[in-house]
Amino acid sequence: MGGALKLLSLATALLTPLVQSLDVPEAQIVPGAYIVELAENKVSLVI
Amino acid sequence: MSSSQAPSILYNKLDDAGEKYEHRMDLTYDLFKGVSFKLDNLASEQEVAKQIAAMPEIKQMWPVREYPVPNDKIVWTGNSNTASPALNTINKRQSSDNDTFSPHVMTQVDQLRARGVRGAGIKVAIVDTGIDYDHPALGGCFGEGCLVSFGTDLVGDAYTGGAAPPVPDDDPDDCGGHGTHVAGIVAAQVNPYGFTGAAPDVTLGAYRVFGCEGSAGNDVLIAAFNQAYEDGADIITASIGGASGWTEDPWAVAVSRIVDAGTPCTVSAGNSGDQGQFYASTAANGKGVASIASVDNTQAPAILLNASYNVANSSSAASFGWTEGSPSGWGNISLPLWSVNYNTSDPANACDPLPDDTPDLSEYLVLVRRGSCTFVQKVENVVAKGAKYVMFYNNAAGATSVAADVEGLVAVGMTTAETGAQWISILSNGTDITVNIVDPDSAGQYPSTRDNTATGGFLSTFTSWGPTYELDFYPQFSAPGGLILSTYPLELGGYAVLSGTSMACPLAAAVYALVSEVRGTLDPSTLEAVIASTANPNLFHNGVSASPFLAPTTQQGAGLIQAYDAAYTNAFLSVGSISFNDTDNFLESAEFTIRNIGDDEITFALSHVPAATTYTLASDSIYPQEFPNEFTSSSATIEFSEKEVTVPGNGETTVSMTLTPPTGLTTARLPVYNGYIALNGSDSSSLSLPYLGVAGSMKAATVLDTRSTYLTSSTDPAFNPSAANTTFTIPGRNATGGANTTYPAIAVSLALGSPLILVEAHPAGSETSLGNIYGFPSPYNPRGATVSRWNGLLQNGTVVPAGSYELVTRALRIFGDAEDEGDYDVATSVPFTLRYT
Repeated sequence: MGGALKLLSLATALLTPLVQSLDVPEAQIVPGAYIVELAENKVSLVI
Repeated sequence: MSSSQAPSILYNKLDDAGEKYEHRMDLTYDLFKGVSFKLDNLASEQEVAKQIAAMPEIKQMWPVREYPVPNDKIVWTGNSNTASPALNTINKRQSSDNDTFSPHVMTQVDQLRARGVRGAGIKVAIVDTGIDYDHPALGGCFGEGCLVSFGTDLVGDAYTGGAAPPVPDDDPDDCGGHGTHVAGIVAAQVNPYGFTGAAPDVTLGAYRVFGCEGSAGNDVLIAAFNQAYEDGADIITASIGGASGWTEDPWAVAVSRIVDAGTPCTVSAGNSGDQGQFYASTAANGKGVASIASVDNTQAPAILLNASYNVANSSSAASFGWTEGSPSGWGNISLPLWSVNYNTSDPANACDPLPDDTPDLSEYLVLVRRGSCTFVQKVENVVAKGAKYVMFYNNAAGATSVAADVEGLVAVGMTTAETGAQWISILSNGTDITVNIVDPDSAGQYPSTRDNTATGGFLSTFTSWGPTYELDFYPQFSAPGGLILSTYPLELGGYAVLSGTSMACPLAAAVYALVSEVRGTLDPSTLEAVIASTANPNLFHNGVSASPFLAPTTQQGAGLIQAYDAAYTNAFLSVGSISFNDTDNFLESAEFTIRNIGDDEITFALSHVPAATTYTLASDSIYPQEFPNEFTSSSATIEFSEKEVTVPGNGETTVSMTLTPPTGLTTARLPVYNGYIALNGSDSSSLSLPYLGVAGSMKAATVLDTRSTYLTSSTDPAFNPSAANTTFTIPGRNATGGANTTYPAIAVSLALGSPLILVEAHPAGSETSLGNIYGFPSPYNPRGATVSRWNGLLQNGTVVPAGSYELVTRALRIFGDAEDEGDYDVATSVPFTLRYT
């Protein structure tokens, strides 16, 4: 138990750089939205 | 079959499976054939997406990512109610033929303009927020015969990025402002503010990818670039980006194809200079794409309030600029000017009580020089003699706002040192001056500039640093982007001063147009090489002071663009830059060719000019050091095949060289050595070739912060670590969880970018992997932290049964072998229990 608490507190202390990084504007993924590129040389096979 | 049939095959499959979807965009172009869509059922979308990706018709599949409008700093905007500046002031500034606009002087654009080079016949496409084509300085119309002659709106006003699909229309008008500012930098026409774009005779294309608010999806960006290419754009520019560092990003890949097909593309390097080295942005980091860094303007535009004065009894008034202070009860007044004395270098003007023979000042505007004591002290001394209105004149550049709330004072302001000196000169001759102030709420604008002695001409501290993770050279070169005056939508004031690499990029695009007009070629690699080899490397500046050494090529690329030299030098280099890569992939020797298109031979003396070797990682850390990075004086040495080479007229000569990386460095901190190969020609030409390399192993660098990679829960806004053995009860396979459903999630923190992240589910305590959770493997990841929730679905399409699990995150190191387990950094989560409702 003591070990787990120690680990938790260590992880909490290390969270600071994570939160800072999350503040950096990043490209966000749009849920459910995709781009597909078609394989032209395979397209003819499905006609 | 035509490519337009292929999406129907895809959609038929979705229909057959009973999946609801929304079509987003046709991406049916010569250089990119595909489609974007959105699956409605987020509970099953991951599984469906996997099935689609496995279809033989699908070559590649990526999630749609959205990129925000760049966070450029708005320094000043005009007032749409009082937008007309003082025209008689403007007349003293540049005309179309005499280009004194400081960004153009800095880049030799003024010299090309003096030769009549204006970009005629060249089509420049701008991918941005649209263009306010109604603006008189941007032609006032849209379509054939107009300055903004082509383009389209790919998204519609209401588009905000996110899940809502774009709704295209034909009108690329701008409601955001960013694109109109960019457009003016390229091609603004003569206007009351006295500047023009760098290439005012080009025609512009407006490819609008943002709605009035929000972000742009990369499907929209891919479409915009391809549409511009197919519409015949000669040059495509975008001041847009997002953290990446990988040339394989889908938008970067799409832009690289366009460059390969012969159309130069310029993209801003990014405004994340604070992040240190290795923070390249997409699509600027695409192969062959010109990434543009920013330097600060040598002249800081300053827009003052307009007022006038009459000398003696003359009916002709002259304009001057001033800044209101506090108090500011000016109203509309005309008062005779009275000065404390006629000494324009008096350091303590009105710091002492005024003499007894001072007249009653209540019916004057009192002129006081700034300096030595407080504004309040000076004002108290003149108010003691009855003054109600006080105008300071500055003892430094510009005119700043004064606060002097002294009882009895009605209004205070400040004018420039130049205006003060002019007035003193007139008064000292015994000639009266009457000053006419228009109330600040309705006063016009007085455009002015002041010397930017603090940072002018140096790299902007905000400009993002390269290189890419695989050590592609980045950025290519720099252009003025800090403190840039340009057009702005009329409804937002008409003109604005903005700072960002967004402002540097369009100037570079305009220079591409000018140089291509002179050279008669649009070949991207030729233009990049000639612009790079003639650019001016600059000293490093930390935002406060300059250093005696050159700024790293990872910040400035080849240096500040010099357009005239790029257009007219007789000597070309075959490449724009050289990357010697890292110690594992070291390029032991390199060569380049000098081509001479003149008739006379040129002899070049070769030398090596190192720039500052720069540590990437902070001391004793796996994370990159933030700006400004630590430098070291240890630099590479270069031996040339010959110290002097003669290139015959209309001939070429190849130079080879060997480089020895610097020694004595802490290689684990990834020091980037860099600099320039200088070529001084007998024809007075001065060329340089930038290079970089890493005196360490990229593969040896830790990419995954294993201590900050942990199990968390999807509904914790702070994403704190979850305790071991937490139970997550989630909807079953065919159920949809509500917004409050707490899923297990994995927080992954990358200190450096990783080419591949795996997150595998293991039964708790077991070393046996059940496979990647859905969403992984994730290729080409930027550095930073991400949180991914897990609904029990594996990448192989199966759903794990209820039970106890651990998530094992493995991040492949840069240049690592995906098949070699030793090339991954690994973090194992605490165990947790998964249950289904």
